[in-house]
Amino acid sequence: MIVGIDLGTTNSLVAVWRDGKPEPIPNALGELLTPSCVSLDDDGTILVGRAARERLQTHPERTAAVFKRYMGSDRTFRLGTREFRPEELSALVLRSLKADAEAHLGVPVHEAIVSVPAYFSDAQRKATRAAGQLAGLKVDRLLNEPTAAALAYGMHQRGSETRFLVFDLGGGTFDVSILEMFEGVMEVRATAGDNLLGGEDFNACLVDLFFERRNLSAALRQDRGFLHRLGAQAEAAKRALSTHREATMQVRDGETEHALTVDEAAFEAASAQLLKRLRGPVERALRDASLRASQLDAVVLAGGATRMPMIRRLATTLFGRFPLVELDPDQVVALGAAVQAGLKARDAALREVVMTDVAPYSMGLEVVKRLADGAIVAGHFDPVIERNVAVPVSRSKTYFPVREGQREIELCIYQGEARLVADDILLGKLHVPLPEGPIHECGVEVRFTYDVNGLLEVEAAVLKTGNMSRLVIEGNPGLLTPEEIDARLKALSDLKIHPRERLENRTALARGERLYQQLRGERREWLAARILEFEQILSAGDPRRASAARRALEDQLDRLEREPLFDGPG
Amino acid sequence: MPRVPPFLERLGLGPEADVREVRRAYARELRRIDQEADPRGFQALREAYEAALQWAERPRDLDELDESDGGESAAEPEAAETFEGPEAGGRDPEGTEAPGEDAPPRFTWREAARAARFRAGEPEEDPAQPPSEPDPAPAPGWPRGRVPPDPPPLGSPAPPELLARVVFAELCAGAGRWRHEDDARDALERCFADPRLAGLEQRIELEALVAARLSEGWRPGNEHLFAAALERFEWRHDRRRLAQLGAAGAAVDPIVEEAVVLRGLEEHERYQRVARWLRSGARPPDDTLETLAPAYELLRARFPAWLRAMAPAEGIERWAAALAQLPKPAPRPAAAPARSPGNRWGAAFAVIAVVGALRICGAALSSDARSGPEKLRLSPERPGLPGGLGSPEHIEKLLAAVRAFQECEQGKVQACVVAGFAHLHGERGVPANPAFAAELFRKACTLGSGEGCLEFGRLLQAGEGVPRDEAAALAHYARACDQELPAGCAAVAALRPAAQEEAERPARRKEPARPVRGAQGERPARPEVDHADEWMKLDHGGRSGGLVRMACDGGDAAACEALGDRGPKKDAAPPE
Repeated sequence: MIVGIDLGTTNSLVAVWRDGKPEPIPNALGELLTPSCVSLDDDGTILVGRAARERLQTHPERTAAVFKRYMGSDRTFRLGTREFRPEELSALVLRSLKADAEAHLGVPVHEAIVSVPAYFSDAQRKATRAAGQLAGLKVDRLLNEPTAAALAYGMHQRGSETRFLVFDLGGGTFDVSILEMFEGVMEVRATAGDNLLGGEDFNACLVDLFFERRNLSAALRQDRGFLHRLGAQAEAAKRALSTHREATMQVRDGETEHALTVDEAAFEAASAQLLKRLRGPVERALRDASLRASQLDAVVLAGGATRMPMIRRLATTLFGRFPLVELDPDQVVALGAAVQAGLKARDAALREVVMTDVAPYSMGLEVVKRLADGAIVAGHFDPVIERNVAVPVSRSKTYFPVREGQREIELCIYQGEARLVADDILLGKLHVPLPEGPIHECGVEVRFTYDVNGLLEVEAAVLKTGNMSRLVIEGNPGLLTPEEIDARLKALSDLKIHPRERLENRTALARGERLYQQLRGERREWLAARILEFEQILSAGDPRRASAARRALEDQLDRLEREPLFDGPG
Repeated sequence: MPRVPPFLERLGLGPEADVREVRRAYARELRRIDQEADPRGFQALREAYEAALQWAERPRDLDELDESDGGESAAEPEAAETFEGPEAGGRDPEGTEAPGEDAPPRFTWREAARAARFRAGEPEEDPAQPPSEPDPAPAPGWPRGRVPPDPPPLGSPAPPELLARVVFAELCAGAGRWRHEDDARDALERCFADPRLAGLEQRIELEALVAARLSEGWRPGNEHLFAAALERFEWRHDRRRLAQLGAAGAAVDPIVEEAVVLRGLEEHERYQRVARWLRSGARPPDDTLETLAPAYELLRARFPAWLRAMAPAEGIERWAAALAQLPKPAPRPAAAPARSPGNRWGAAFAVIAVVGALRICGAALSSDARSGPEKLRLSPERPGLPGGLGSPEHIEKLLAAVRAFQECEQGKVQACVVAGFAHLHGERGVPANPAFAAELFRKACTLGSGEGCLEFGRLLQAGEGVPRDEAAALAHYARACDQELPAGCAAVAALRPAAQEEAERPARRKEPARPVRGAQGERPARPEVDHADEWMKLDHGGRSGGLVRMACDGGDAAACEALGDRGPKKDAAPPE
């Protein structure tokens, strides 16, 4: 069985292609979204999802979140005493989703289509694949997130000739893609995006606003627990502002209580810089597709952050029309990945459908440039594959050494759009030895091959000798070698995962603990007593009684959370 | 009938296929291919499809081209009337219709290029034209039949093109008053904050209009507008953005390319200074003219597009004429020959000016290189240069020497010694110049190099490049000896009987070090160079371009500044 997985910055979701349509799969808690959080429980087991997210506030030193942003880098996260790489944490989330899918479908799941932000680089994509491997999933196919969203919408509108733009603002990344459908072909015309722009950044704006308005000391910025608590309040306030005119953030630092009421206008003003950054990728995608906004049939919103009214307003002014939100923006990427899973499995319902994607960024080499008078300057970028060409694609160009008698060419491979390579991303280097002879005999043919998964291969052939070199990206600290993957796989298999059937109880408990930490006085004592009761029932080991008690506790927690945490804004 | 082109054949189509048929055929063929397993097959199909699409779209395009050309030829004078004041007026009483006539029927970004043909908004230097006038009156003149059929954006009833033009006209109205690029930046930001420009199409339209203005040569305010646009429109960070603006974009692209290179040069400010003089229209004093001549020549040779965009053509030509008339820089004996240590540095800088100018222009290393600017514009390909002078290798060696000098200025001892030797013997493509070599050695000596002291002492003793001064020579030999250089001690021993007085001299050592410009000290060390010996390896590295860029322009600029500020030209005679 192949499933589609949206491995998100904030939340993840698994979906499957079944009975001619994509279908989201609930997790052990019966919820569709699994927070992309991992925590090391007090008994040494691994908690994934909502329980882990609750523990972000109570046990920040044993919990990790937002690790997707560090995929493909060598940044590690410490949970208790153990260091985890972002691939490993992602693998734990994937593993949990895999277990959910297997429980739901009743068959083993071996393979997954995993979505990645279109703007993910080579290293980030390879890291995502490695995460799949570590989770025991075959990840042959990576799917660009906006393409996935477009696929989900495309299936929704099947049969029509249409052209639309997907505006996908997720937890951590922003992607735009333009899709055209004709004759059963779903063709991505152009993609653009920003890898570091998402809902989390809007939370950060609220956090900054809180610090600024409440004059909090810079030292508090170092307090992980405080920041996570404030971050959770910011997230809640952001959500509340989608439906209410104002929201209050309350957070306790030791015995001091801080609170701030924010209205929508203040939130929008604080986010002005982020809103500005949303325009760039939209403009670029339209230009690359040679379309104007008015030539689009629809604008589709995807990603949870597009629930924010200010984002919808921006989209409306940008395109001069109201955007469509027919599918749940939180689910649309996973649903699209499930469509791709169906395509891959050659499902009969999808026989007539083909999808083509594009390369989201240009790739090329550093070259010297000759000025009008023949002088040369180095550091210029020369594209071999231009962005937004249909993939898979293979292109070659011939390059010559700069000087007579040069014995070697260093090919520096870059990704990006800037004129100077200093502003682009270095992917790797390739040293090509040259034969002796005049410059014009020392040509090197460089071939770039970019596949549907967004992985790049570079080959260089010296024309005179026919010697081939192939790019091995060396020394990239963000990538695991196959041996390292094996080692990590072993290490991960030693970890004990919290039993799935007990996760609901554990999550309720984690939530109780989190609330306990926030409360003071009587209510706190009262809650402590409730938690103790619940723990006693759990230890008795009667599942029926346990689940009844859990539901009771959840009701009580709900009620507590609806009340203001402390009396009046501080 | 003509043969069927292969790309149509691949799709099983005939030459009369239309877009719909092409797409249908492509869809059919695409289903037969496994993109993942057969990337080559996919690519071949894709190429056929894209070619076929163009084929199918082409005839219609041609029709439209004719149509819009017709509209344009009629529109141009009208546009001129609308925006360029009364002198162009009177030809068409319905001038307000001009924008409409000019709007092409099909709207792709490429056609935003029409902005290039549409000279909007130029009232700033024309007192007869108040800034508010260029508003092309949206409602009455807009020919309804040719407005795109799409619904206009919410809240903005006027077509995007028109909105953009109005905003652009307002922007340009202020252009003549901009004094700094920040003014232009603010003005551009205000445009983008303008609710009339909220929609994407207006924004792109405005960008096309700005590109069009910049592509048409310099006008007042363009220099600031360019700087602001480079940033605001990401022309630097997105190569392809200009390509999408059609002809205007294509014309601006080389300007941006050159500006990007130019900005990377350390002496960027010097070129800006040339451009400021050119824009001012005034003839600079001879001194300044001469000082800036190399930079001016370099701009003309290397950055022609940038220069045209940054300065008026008349100004550029006027300079060329002024430079040609400039008296040859014959030695001026009267000009205070012994003006303290500064003039020696003047000499040193002058040499570097020559070296720099030669490198800059890739010209012959002849001794009269400074005699006239025209000579400086020889290209490296120019035949008949003696002995490989001016060849790329030669220029690169020159660069190396210049670079060693720069590093020396930054306080790298070994670089001073290396550069000193190069100039002493005329090695590495540098002309022999003992005076300059002496300065380099002395600097090395003050920086603590025994070798530098020794060599400087030898020059003092021999009177080579510096006035003969045995006492000073002895003092320097002594320093070399202090640095445990046996040759220094030997020289002290040999010289001591001949010279009895010494000891009061060392104070003099300190003076010469002063003239190194303060600004030089603040110049950030270039990270690429971490060893003075590096330049010797120039010929072995893989890519030479980076080194070339690094070396660019430090030396000659310092020289010119020294000449311009301190004036002495007496030592400026080039080395033989």
